Amino acid sequence: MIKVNIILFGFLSFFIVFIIHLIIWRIFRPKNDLGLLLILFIFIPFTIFTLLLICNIKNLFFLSNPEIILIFLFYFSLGLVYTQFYPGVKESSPTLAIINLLGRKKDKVRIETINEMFNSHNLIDGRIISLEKIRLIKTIKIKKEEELILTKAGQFFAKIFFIYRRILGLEEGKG
Amino acid sequence: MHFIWLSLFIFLSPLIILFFHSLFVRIFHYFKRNTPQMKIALFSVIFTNIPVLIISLIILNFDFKNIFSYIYVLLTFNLLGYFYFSIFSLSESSIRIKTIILIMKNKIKNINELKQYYSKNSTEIRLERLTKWRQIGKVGNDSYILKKYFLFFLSKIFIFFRFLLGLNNSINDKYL
Repeated sequence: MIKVNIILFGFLSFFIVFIIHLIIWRIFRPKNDLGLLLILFIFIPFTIFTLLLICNIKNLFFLSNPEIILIFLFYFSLGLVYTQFYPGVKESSPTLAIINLLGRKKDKVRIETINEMFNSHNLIDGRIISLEKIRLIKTIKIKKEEELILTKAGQFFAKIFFIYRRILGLEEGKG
Repeated sequence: MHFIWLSLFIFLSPLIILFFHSLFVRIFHYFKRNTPQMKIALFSVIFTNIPVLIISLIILNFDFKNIFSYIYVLLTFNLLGYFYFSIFSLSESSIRIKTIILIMKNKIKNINELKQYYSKNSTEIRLERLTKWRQIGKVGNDSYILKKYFLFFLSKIFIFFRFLLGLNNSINDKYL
């Protein structure tokens, strides 16, 4: 029987990790923040929960092992949602930037104003930097010209998304 | 023992969403419906709640005594469903994912070619998409107006979290 405390412990675990994340980000913003976010929200909790399961083989804690698994699964789902939410917080979503502009103006906004807000250069630069930081692409010099190439991890992710769209029967997204 | 099966089932439930999603994409395509792909993805996640609930009932031997078991299943499944939806929207509208796919296909070689690609498309694609979703409306030939406030509210949440984490960003700071 699943009790309400399983959901509460799941929320509590997430809240504790979120507070740690908040403190770390307030003190210093890590260079590879997406990597650290994954370590903080997924890998460290996974290790802790696995250790808890091993230590609790003889049911020493007030929670049984199946309950610990259920708490971790709930926590894991919250963690995954947050790791998807964070990149949107960190770098402005162009779509939300348009929405926010229209919402604040409360009147019609000309396309020139939207274009002005939103020149492609600051958008692209930020994204290229973040792709380099998480080591999905790198810049190399070929005949004095800089070229973008995929790292092995980049090739892996590009293929995964390519295959995923094929399974769905869709062409690649418009970006 | 059935909790182990239940955990395993919930953990793998995004695969069920993938199955129904690929089915719905093909059905909508067959009937030539011009429905936005994001809507089909969202519909698939919401629809998959039904088979997930039915399979959970079977795993839990139709035990209706503890309603929390089902609340737990639906809550966890929908969190994973949101994760699935985010992954799909990445594949549909993320500049980063589009960039790595463009590099993989040798369609762009450097940052200038990428900027050129997006200077033509970026704003237009987004305005077209938002109009199609009926979040914004076109007024005359060259102006837009906000029609629904859900995404505006969402953008406020993003601003709040950025403030909480002490983040700053050039576009956001100026415009959000």
